[in-house]
Amino acid sequence: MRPSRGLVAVVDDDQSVRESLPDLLRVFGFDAQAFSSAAEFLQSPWLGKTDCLVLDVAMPGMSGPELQDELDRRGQGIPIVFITAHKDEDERLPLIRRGAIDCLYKPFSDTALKAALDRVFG
Amino acid sequence: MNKIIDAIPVMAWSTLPDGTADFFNEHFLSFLGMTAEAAYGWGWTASLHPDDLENLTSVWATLISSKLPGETEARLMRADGQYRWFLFRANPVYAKDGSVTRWYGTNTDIDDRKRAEEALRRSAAFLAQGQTLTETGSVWWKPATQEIFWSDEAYRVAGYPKNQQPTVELMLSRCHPDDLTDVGEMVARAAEEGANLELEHRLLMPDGDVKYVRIVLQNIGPDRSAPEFIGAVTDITRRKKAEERLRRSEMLLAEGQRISLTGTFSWKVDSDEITFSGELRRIFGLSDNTVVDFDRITERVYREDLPLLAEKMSNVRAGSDNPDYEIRLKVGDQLKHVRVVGRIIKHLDGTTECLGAVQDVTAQRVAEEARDKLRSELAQIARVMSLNTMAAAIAHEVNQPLAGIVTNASTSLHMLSANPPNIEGAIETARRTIRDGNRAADVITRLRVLFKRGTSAMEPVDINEATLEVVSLLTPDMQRHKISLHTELFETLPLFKGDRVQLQQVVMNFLRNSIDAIGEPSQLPRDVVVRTEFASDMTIQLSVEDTGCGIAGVDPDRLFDAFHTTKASGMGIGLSISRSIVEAHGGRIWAKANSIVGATFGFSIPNAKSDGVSLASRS
Repeated sequence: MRPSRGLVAVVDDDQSVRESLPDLLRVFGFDAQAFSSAAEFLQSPWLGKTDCLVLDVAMPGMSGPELQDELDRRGQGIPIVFITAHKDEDERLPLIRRGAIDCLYKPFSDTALKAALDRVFG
Repeated sequence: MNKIIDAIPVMAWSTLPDGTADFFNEHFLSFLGMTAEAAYGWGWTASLHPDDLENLTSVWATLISSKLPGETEARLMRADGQYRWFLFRANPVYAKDGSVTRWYGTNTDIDDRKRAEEALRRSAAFLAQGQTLTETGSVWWKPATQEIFWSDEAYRVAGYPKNQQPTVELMLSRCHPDDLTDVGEMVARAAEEGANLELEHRLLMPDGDVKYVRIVLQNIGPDRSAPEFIGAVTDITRRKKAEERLRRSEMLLAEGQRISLTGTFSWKVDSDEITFSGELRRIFGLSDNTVVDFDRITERVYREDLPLLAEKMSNVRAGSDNPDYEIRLKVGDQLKHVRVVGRIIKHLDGTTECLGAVQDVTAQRVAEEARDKLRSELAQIARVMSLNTMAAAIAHEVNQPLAGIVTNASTSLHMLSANPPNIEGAIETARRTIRDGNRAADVITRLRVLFKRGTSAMEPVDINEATLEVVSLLTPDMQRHKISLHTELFETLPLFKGDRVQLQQVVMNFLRNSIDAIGEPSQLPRDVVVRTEFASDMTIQLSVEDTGCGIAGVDPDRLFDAFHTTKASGMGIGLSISRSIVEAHGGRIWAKANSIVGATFGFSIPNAKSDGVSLASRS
């Protein structure tokens, strides 16, 4: 087995994404862990080890951008690739401006995701 | 001597000094139908008219005591019971010492004269009363001698006291200054040439009042050069003022008809005589001199409305209810809408007349049509707008499983192309691909339900199920706005006939308004409750309660009006359309401010016919 390229955490309330995305990330050579909510992620031991977040924008409870704020507030800034099912440039652009690596519209292609992750992991 | 006295055609009599009768001639007795014995003394007074007894007795007593001749008038009853007037004359015969020895007297029949006087007095009274009633005074004028006579009423009309001697100058001094020249000339010419005079002019009274008089003078002189006029002066002020009022009210009526575009008509049903007012002629495009008949009318009625007109007219002929209907006219190339309101009148002579008014309501109808067209266009816009909302929601719902599908498919592909291929992993991801595909298909199936009944279709609606569909569509939006959306759905609500998609648009409109009302994420609390209830009045109710900015300061009457919005970027048609939809279901839409914060919007729809029971709230 090749050494891991890093740990990518997936936070999404949608079960399909939580099931499928970690497998694809592993195919890409990452370690992957999925969380169904921002709170679950914040409470997990993976928090401090995560190299990159693939983060859903709209979730019950704390939303993706709010999780980003919370992490910044804690001084635990993690590179974030946002994913959203709501195709709206007015929501996407502010996220990019605030420092997100990218914001991908669901459904996104494996190459788009890989390109975004490559910008994090070089 | 007695024979002579009896023979003369005069009633003769004599009395003793104290007035006691001691003689009546034959003529007298036969008039009275009494014997001399019965008449002697005071017996004759039985024939005196009771009303005259007192006067005669008193005169007679005066004469006797004064011993002077005298006379009086009284009625005596003839043998046949008829009273006649007599002049009683009495002459005393004196003795040497100056005392009265006897009284001799005669009674002269003055009945005819009396009656003539009576008739004259009566006719004078009639004339005076007639003059007063007609405000007409009599005038007699002889220019040559400057003699003028005015009757009492003439004085009254001219406003002079009766003791004032009338003159031409006096008459002219009352004349209104503006009329004086003309009147003066005509009067002068009448005096010179003896021409008959007939004129109307104004009088200016001392108190500033203006009277109108009509003067007619006719020359009855023996020849024209010596005129002698009789005539009448009539106070025609009332008539003039009435004429003025009539002219004025006619003018006002015409003006009123012109302004209100209302004409009036009369239709004598038995003779088919029709009269149109000026404005009605204008509405029908008929010139003033065109004779109005049914041919003229029907040729101007819009062909499709002819049967209606015929029906209404035959109803009138049958004497049934008063007509009240609306028809269209084709006048030139113009289509007019007119409203007809009539009243059937049964005259005393048995004929029937239909009186009525016709109002040109074209402008109103055209405006209403434009409004309806605009409303349906607006409804279309609203529909498109909520379809946009739905389209975004659909995209969201479908994109979620699609993301899974695409990711699984990619993963599966990568696993198969790896060396060595990860067959087990590929199979697992493929299985998930199929599952997500099914999930997407479910979403689409669910959404298709919303659209397959795109046109208005009445069907049994389960309001809980319909609400849950909208709620699920808007849940992502609610989440994005940090609003917690709760549902409190009444179990076993009856189904009702309705247009499910339209009602869902109303619910969606309520929910979107709640999102807008709650506004910025900093504002707390952020709750929306969708509630369904079965009210005690057997209506099915749906309400959306929010903790937003509320409706204080919003006119509740205007809340549901089109284009009335409190939102910076709203068109203000959502609630208006919602109201149309709810009212089309026979329901009522309402809004109320919550006691603490926010507002509740809702509708209630009567449960006219139960079509089953909602089960959605149980699932």
